[in-house]
Amino acid sequence: MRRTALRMVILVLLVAGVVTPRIGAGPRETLLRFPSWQQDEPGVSGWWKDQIATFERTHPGVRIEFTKIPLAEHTDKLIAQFAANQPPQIVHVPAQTFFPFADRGWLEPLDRLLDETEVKKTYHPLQAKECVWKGTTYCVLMLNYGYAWVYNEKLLKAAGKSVPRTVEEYIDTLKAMTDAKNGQYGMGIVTLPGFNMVAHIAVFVYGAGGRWTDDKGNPAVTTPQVIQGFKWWKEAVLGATPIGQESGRLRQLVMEGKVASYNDGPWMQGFALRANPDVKPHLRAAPIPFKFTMGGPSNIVAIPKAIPEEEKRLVWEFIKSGTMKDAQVRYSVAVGAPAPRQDITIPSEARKDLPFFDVYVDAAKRAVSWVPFGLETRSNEFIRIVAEHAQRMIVRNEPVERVVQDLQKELETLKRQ
Amino acid sequence: MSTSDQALQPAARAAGWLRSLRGPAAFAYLLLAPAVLTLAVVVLYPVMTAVDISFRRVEIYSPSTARGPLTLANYVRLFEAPAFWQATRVSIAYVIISISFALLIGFGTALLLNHRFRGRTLARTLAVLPWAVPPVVAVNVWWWILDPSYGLLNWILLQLGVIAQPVNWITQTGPALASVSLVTIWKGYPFFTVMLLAGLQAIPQDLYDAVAVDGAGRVGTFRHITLPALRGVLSLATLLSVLWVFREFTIIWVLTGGGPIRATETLAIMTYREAFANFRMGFAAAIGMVTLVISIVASIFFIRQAGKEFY
Repeated sequence: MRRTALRMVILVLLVAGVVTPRIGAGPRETLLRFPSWQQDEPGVSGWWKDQIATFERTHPGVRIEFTKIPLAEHTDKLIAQFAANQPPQIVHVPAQTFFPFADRGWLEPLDRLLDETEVKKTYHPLQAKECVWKGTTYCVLMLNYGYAWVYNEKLLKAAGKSVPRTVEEYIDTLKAMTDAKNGQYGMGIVTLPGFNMVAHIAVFVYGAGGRWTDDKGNPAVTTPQVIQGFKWWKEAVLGATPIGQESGRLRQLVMEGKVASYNDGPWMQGFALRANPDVKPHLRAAPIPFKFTMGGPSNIVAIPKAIPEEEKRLVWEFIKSGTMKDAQVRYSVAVGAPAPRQDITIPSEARKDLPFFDVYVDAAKRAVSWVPFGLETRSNEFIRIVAEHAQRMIVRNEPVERVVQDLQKELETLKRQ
Repeated sequence: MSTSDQALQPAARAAGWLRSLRGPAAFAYLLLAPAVLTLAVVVLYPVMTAVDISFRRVEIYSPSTARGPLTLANYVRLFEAPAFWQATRVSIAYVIISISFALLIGFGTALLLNHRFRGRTLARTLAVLPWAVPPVVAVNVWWWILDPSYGLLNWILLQLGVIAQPVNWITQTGPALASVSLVTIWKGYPFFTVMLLAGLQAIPQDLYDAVAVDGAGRVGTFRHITLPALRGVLSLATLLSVLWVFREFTIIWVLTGGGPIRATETLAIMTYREAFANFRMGFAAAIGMVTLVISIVASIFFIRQAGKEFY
């Protein structure tokens, strides 16, 4: 009777899983979570996956979980995870939205670690500017870039146009390639509020020589240059773009030949390689004919302060592996643009596969950062406010001059908060 | 009665209550305990936390965050914010439009499906189909239909010559609210159909026979028998739908994100935006509290209506 009872107890313990984990359990696996919008982005996702595979091979018992969060909701989700004290171990964010994380003291200072590497000596000067907050370095720059105009040469010629050299020619060309009734548009411009909508506005505003803020970090959106930029943007949107589309859809429409052109960073090359067979041979890139080229730092990686020291060490090793010369060469080939490390050379055979490479190298050299300095710690609200006001210009057709006055007031309120 | 007797009274009452816990009562409380505890953890704790932070200046809340002093600042700011009144107006308009049409369509469908005809089973299945479709899937299909540049609706209307230019169903302020309401109606009417059909089938045939003998026509029968008999079901279905639509998030967020220019920003969307985009969780909690109060008032009204007996 007692033996039966004992058997029953052992059985219950086994079923409950109290005993089973002890039998045949191997060493515990360390999991490093790595959410990113680049998880399925052509080109760069392959580089990340290679880096992860190499790291896991050289670090048995460590697994990197590379998952997708769309760019539009990426920063919000990460901030929510930090707030809940559950940050991912590998922090990857657009450079524009890095500052709220640094300002809240959520990131590990990296200066001591960076001193052991060649990053400070060999990286693009933006590393020292965009990854530093209040004198401390908190991140490693992944890419600096400039925007270029990717266009369909066949559609351009069909409209009787050549590559535009002036802003006027540019907008005129976009309109000429548009036939809205038949679903054909001259250019894709993101008009759904969010990060990409404001990035596309910045192409025009910064192209005209405008800046979101002045040298002291105060909002400066009523300058003639900003007004001019908004006017060009409004004209292009109302005359040449399918309204209400987000970036992924617009890139797809370019690849299907329904949208003739798109302003984008070097990652567009990866998408272009996936274009429909009848469209792919006709895709070209050219500089956007503005006085200035919008761009700057693209994205960064960092380590959260709140994770255990051992995990911090592992994440740093992962980040460091990406700063090495060979990794940076592969990165440059994967994204089709210059990597942040300046002392590398791209093999000439690789350049043959990157038809837009030289255009993007040139764009990156000339690029002006569109980070709203002075408002950088409120980047989420900044983006929402700018997008909402810009919508008034196209949805209600309100005059640019009037809307920027309201925009200035609202940004000043944001600055005071 | 002496002072010591008075002091003993509460102790005696407590002892009496403990005695009552023996036997079947104790067993009943024991069975209820897990449910009560779960309710306390998953409902009461979040609500109490929301009430608490709505009275504090909290940007990003976590249980370990040091809390500042109590303040009415969030509520003062809320009632002074034009965006709050705009969101309230949008919420009310959205609820009224969506519920009215969903109720009318649902009622009509229920009356139709209450009759015997060939293919009734198939018709019943089709009528409730929208209810079964996951909201995100439904909204994405509707997004494709309403897409201003490549949408099916614009294409049909252009082919028929009804419109000369594509209409921006989602990106113009007026059509955007109509569009989110349309999707909500499509998703919501089957609930009314199911509830009212059940209600219709529960009305005794004797009542209809009696009014027929009295010479009542179809309109009279509907007005004096069907409608009053359905009052309870109608109130309950309306109450539940009002509460669902009032805090609807998925349809609006996926279709318009609350835009353009806040034209479809309801209180639910505003709460989310303030909490998880602007990270003003104290302020967002204050919006949530106002929403809760409105929901409670609506619930009391409809529950009273539902409580009125017909039979």
